[in-house]
Amino acid sequence: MRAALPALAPSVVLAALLLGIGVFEPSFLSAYSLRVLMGESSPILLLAVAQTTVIMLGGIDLSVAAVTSLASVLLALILPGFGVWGLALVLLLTTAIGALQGYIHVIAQLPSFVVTLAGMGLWAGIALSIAQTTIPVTRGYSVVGWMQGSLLGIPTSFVFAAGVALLIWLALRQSALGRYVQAIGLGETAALFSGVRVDRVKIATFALSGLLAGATGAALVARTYSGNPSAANSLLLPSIAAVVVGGTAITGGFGGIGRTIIGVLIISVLRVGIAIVGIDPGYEPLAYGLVVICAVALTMDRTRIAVVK
Amino acid sequence: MSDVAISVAGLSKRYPGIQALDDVSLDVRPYEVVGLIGENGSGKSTLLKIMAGLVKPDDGKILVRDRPVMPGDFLAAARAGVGMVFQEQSLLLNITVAENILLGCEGDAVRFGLYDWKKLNSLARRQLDKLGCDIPSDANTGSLSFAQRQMVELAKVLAIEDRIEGAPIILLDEPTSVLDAEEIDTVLTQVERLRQRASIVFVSHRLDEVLRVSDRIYVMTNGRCVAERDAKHANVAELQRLMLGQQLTDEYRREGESHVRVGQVRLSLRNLSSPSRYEGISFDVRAGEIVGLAGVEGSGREAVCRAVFGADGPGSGEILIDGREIRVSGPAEAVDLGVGYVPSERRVEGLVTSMSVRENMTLAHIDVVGRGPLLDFGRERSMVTKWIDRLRVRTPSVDTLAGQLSGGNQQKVVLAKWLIAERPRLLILDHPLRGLDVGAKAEIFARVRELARDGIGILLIADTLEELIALSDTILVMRDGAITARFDAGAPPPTSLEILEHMI
Amino acid sequence: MTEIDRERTDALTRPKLAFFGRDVGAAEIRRHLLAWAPAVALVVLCVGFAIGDPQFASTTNLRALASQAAVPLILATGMTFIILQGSIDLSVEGVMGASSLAFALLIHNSRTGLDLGIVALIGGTLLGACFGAANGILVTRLKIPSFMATLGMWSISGGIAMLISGGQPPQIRDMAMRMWALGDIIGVPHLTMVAVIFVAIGYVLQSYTRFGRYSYVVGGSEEIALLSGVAVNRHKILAFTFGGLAAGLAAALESSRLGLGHTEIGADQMFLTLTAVVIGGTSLSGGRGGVIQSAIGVLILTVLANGMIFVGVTPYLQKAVQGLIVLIAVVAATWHLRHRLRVVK
Repeated sequence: MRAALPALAPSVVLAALLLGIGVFEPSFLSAYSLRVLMGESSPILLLAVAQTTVIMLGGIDLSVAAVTSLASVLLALILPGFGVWGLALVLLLTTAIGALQGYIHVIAQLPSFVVTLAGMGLWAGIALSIAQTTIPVTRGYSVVGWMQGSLLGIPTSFVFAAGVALLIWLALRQSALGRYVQAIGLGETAALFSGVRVDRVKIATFALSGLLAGATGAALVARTYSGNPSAANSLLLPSIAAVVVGGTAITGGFGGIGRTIIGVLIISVLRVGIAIVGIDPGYEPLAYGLVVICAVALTMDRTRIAVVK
Repeated sequence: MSDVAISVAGLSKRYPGIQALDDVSLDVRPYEVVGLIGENGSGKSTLLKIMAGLVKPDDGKILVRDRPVMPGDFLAAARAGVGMVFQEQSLLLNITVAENILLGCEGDAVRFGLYDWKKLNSLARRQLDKLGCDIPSDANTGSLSFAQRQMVELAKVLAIEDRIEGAPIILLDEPTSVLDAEEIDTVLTQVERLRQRASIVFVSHRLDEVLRVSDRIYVMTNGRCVAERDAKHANVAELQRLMLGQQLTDEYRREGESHVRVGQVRLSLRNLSSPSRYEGISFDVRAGEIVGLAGVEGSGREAVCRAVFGADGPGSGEILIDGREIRVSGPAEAVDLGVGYVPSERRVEGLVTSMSVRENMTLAHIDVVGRGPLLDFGRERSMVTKWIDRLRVRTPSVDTLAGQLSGGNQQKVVLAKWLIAERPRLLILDHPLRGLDVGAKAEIFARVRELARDGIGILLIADTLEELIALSDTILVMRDGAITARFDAGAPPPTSLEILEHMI
Repeated sequence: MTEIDRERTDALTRPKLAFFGRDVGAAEIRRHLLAWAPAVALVVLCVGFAIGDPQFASTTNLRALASQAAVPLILATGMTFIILQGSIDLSVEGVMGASSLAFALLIHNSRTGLDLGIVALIGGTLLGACFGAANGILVTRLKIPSFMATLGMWSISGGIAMLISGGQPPQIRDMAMRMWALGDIIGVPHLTMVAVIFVAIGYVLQSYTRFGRYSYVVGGSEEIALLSGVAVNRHKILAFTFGGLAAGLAAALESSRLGLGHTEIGADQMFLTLTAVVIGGTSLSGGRGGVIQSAIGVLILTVLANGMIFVGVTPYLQKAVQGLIVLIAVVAATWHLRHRLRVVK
């Protein structure tokens, strides 16, 4: 049985990157810049955690970024009038969106990438038709503003994101649901024949993904004081990249939140590091694309895919 | 000029846990039809696939017209003139008949990548004419009936003729299993015609068909070729006996239990029907009773079992568990009702091979190791250890990956999965002894009897008739979707021959 | 139960109707209906909009429609072969961006001193083809699923586009090219003519060449294709290359029309193309459909977009509608394949 990558490899890569950039530009390793780094990585961490659970099932959620954008727009509109209840409402909505996508995936037996691809268009389109440009948050900012503070020197948004990641990590490791997710990823047919309610697990996982996308939207609103329909467009690929670079295989079953956290750190360091070292930030998308492709190629369990389409 | 069209010698093939073929040798002479018969799992299909170059044997040689052919290389086999008509059709439904017949060997109907449709259609027409078939070459394959497509498959195989010198060797793997009487007749007539231009190996589980078209017959059982007979002078009864395989070992023999202690009715099927698979199935399984279903492939017995477990939907009829009618829309509901299923495809349906023994064993009833919303790993470990001891599962540790255990031990893990919680009401065993060595078989055999003694109702499908007779209290024979015979517990156990009569 | 088993059961239980001398079952009738539905839908839409607002059918508007359909037609033709094989290409937008920049920099422009005229067009197209070939290699050699590989390539090609552009879109100064791109002949825009010719080429490829016919085979069943000795990998790479080529060509033409090289020139095209191909009747699972069907799908979406403006629907909602349409179309097309034990990831 193969593990995706020797579990240590991503950590080694992270250490190497930190060292490399630190040698080039020592101020990178300062407390301040590390703090900025952590604050930067919170949205990606949340999205990557969402993506990890879906990928462990063997699927993928291409709509997370679009849902995040939609959430940010809705929050900007709803916070002034409804405050905390507005936040709750938006989170409920994004969870429902996730559950709906999961439901269609399960009922119509459509591949998850098709459903979430269509969803990506749908939710992004709705977000765009509600608001074409940035909507500043006039009132009620404090409902999400707390994320911009810091706790013992660490940005609150990162503490929040890490806390969520920890919670989900625990759930995956210690709960029946987590066991089921792993079983479905590694042997869905056997799971079915063991009485696992695969449908419900899948819907729940996609619903969770939706919930986290909504939370990411809140984090973005906190950071930018506004909602924007294209806010999260640039976050989809990094979130997937973080998961695969961390060592979770897209074939499902192997990996987990722990690996994803390392992956997120790698991606963020890459991001910030590129700017610091002086490379044109235009190289970012290039880097992400290459990283995703290489990481997927290395971590896929090809013995479990008969035909590659 | 040799006297043999194709010959195989010393072929062996082992899959994890199963010896599919064991030192098989046979030969086919030019322009003769060789029939291959045997029960399910006897190795007929594997043998054909090896001859066609689709599967690589562990040992053995293949000679076509005295020239060796590289085993496992299907392109080499095709070049040598070996063609196979598969049990599952190998036609593409989205292209024309002509394209299917000449797929991969269009010859000069396609030059520099450009299609000359007229040429292609006429080349295909030539093949179809050999069969006397009037299907148009430019018809879309998807619009043809199943029987018509079978014709096209034959034409496709015949196309080999034009590419080689000498007669092609055509392997037919159960070509008639889903056809109606009229269509079967057409296919068999074709096969008889084809003898004039090819050497044919014909596999079917229907003895009468094989006897009709074959010149010689080989009988296979348990991966070995046990007999060769001349078809004209064959004794049907003898053939049937040969198909049944090795003698019973002592462990298998029924103990002299004249009376089986049975309790209430666990499972009751009333008029269960699924269009074209089975009809009017009604029987009961009581607590402590082992009901065995006998039948060949296509008899519907697997489908009935899967319907009870919710893996397939029945069309109509009632399923009652402990007297209550149930509607299962999936295995999950069946499991909740106390039904367990030990599937025949162990590695795909029975276990998650990349998960540990511990995780597999608790998968079906994970609530027994839960404490609140979380899992209690300590309790899990101790429960799993208990069952490992109880069933004597040989594994280095509870955390060993299930895929690394031997077949017999894997099967025990699957059994444990259903026993780890409270006692199940009903256990369905689908070929539980498949692919196990003799020792493992005996162990599982003993466990199953134990389970029955504990009061679980058991529905059983066995690989061979001996196993079925030895294990079951009541035996139901199915053929073509209906129950054709019933041998009750308490009465003297039937002989294999009696059962076979009703199976075929 | 496999699809084959279900077909066998169907075969035994369906009523045998005689229709033009051949046995026709319910599945066959459904297939014929579905095949004609898009064309009918197109006619209904056109008639409906024309009745709703006669301006819709005016020559100016028809010309505008034709002009709007040019780029999608080219893209859809390229995408069709990829989808026929059962794969997908999400990288169109990035590839278009990169090709647009390459084209704009090779032709007489405000940034570089080059003035390669038509060679620039070929250059831009070839760059697209190279990206496509890269996609093909990733899928066939590294065995990365196509949606993942092309997702990565979207980012890579988009990144390359941004790097080349350096923030300043180069203006195209080749007036002959610009005029030609904006001009028309007997009322039909030049670009639309090119698109129609491209679709025709696509049709010839699909019906008369090994590449086209084998694309159906690979999409129908890759296992059977392999067993018959079909060079599956080679045809996959060809399909992705052709898709990239189409993207490159479309980008170069659109750049000529706009007069500059732009990284976002392909914005929203991926969705539009995908939706068009799917509603035209080419199934995402492969093996069914074709270039003409995709073209009809493009026309439906173009007419829809155009007509919606007349009715007053914002263009942003269109993306949402497209997402919805893809979903409905795919659900409708694969509903009959559902089964209790089917595993779909």
